[in-house]
Amino acid sequence: MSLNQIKIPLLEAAKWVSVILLLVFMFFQLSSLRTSSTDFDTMKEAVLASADLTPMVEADAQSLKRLYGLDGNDFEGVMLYYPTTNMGAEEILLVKLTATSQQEAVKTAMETRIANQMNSFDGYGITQYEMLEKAVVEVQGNYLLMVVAENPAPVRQAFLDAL
Amino acid sequence: MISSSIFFIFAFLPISLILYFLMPKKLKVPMLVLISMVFYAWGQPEYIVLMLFSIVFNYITGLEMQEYLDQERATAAKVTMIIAVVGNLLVLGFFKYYGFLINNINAITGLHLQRPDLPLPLGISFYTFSVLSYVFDVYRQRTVAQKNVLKFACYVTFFPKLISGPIVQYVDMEKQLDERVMVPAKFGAGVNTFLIGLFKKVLIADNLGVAFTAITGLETMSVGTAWLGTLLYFFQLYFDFSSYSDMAIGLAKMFGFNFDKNFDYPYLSSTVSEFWRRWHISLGNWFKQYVYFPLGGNRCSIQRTVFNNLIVFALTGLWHGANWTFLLWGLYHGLIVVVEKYVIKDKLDAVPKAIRVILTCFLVYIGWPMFFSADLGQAIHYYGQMFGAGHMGFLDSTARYYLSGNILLLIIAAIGATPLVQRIHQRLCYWKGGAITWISVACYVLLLILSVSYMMNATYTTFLYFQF
Repeated sequence: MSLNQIKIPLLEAAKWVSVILLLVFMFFQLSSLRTSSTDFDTMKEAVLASADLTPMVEADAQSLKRLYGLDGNDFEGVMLYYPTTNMGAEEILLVKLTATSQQEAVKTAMETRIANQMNSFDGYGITQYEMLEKAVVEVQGNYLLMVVAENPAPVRQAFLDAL
Repeated sequence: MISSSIFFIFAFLPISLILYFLMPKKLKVPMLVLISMVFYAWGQPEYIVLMLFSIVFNYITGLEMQEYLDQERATAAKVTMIIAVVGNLLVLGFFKYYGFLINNINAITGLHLQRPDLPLPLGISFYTFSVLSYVFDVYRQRTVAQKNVLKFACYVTFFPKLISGPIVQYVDMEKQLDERVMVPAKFGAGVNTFLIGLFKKVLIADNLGVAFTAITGLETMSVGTAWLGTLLYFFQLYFDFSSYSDMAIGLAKMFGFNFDKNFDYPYLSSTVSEFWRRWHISLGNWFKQYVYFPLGGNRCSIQRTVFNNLIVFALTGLWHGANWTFLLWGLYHGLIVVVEKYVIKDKLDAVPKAIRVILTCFLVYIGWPMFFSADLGQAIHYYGQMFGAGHMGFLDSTARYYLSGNILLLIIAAIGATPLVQRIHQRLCYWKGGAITWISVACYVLLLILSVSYMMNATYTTFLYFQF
């Protein structure tokens, strides 16, 4: 078989591979924007029930602004639990967006907060640093969850189940 | 990244130019692709995936079509072309029109299908139309498929035109991908065009935009305020979009590429048909070449020609966005063009040119509220205010405040929308037959100083056409 004979089948195959890759990308784009109809209080209850809140305290709107640069009024619902002491790193932030276009900004705020905390604890807070390393940032359409905990998995699971 | 930012002008552009000119000839095109990718990824890194798909998919289908055409397998070539068009329109449709479609299905059927809130990938309408021109041209054998993937990638991604055009057809860029004339005079001309665009954007368009945004933020307004708001937008959109085109053309020139002008003083048109030959010329040419002519153009019955015109204008409207307002705005222009051509042509010819220009401006002006309103309800509300529905009188203190605050800017804009300034500049530079270079240099340095000083203090403003 000459090169010319296999050229068209090769091009055909490459074309369809590129289409399949595109469809996968589009699927992930859509699934990341699939919104949940779960109301915020139900979600909040589910998340809190699965978390160990002992080292944390619920924060007010000012703390949210100070720590994340976010304005609680911009969202349908916000819940922030943060450490009771400066030596704590445990934190939970749950946000229900009013529009999925806010996703990127909130995700960035969460990631920035984790990065800042890691910088703060780098070198002297080994446990806290390790906790921050395994922090979870979960983006599901109109809901975002950030968990910094010894074991963030149950909180994450409760969040996913409640969606 | 936007080309009217300090970072672009003092960091990205100089570094790009240095890298480009330092590269040996063979590596200039790959370097341009890299620079363009970085430029694009700066704003929306995830959507670089779409860009890569567009390059790979269209490059492959181009080669495949070429193979079929060489083997005289017309049907196979046609099928490949159709797949390519569907593939490109699928991406554009998904990211730009899917939400609109779902909204309308919900409204008609009463269903509650979830509307995805997908962010619009920057420049998707522009680069999709560019690659479609390539697909059509290969199929119609206006050109041959590009064998070098990097040259094709350069055509798709070339950063000056990537986000807001001009929509350069492949045949117009093909030869320049192989060979570009790069001489200091051309580079200088590019810098000049870029600076004119920068000035138009930051000092005229953005300031008009500030006043326009303030006016449209009012709940109710007097007749005068509403008409003034439309007038501000009338000039803002022209200066905003034409400035981007100027900057794109200037930047392209700096890298050795020549692009045709995208605006030719559209507000001096004596008919709406002429307006469309002077406004966003590359989009008009695209629709003419790839939609109007294939539909039969004007070489068919009057009814069919009217239909062709309306289809083209409806698509032109929808190209700007997934919204009924854009469709109606397009049809409004289409109907005027049809009336001009087939109903009042003889009468129109008898009208003095100055009056025709004023009439054309008025007709275009009346269409802008439909264009800038977020939905039909807002458009109707705004038109209502223009005709007294706000019950705030004809000319209240708000109208006087905005008029007195912007009158100078509007005069500058009105003059800038004509070739007067350029003619004066030419006269000065070629005074008494000799080219007085220093006057020209001084003018452009002044433009740069004024623009940069303003940019230092102003807030970042994106281009209006980025949303399309």
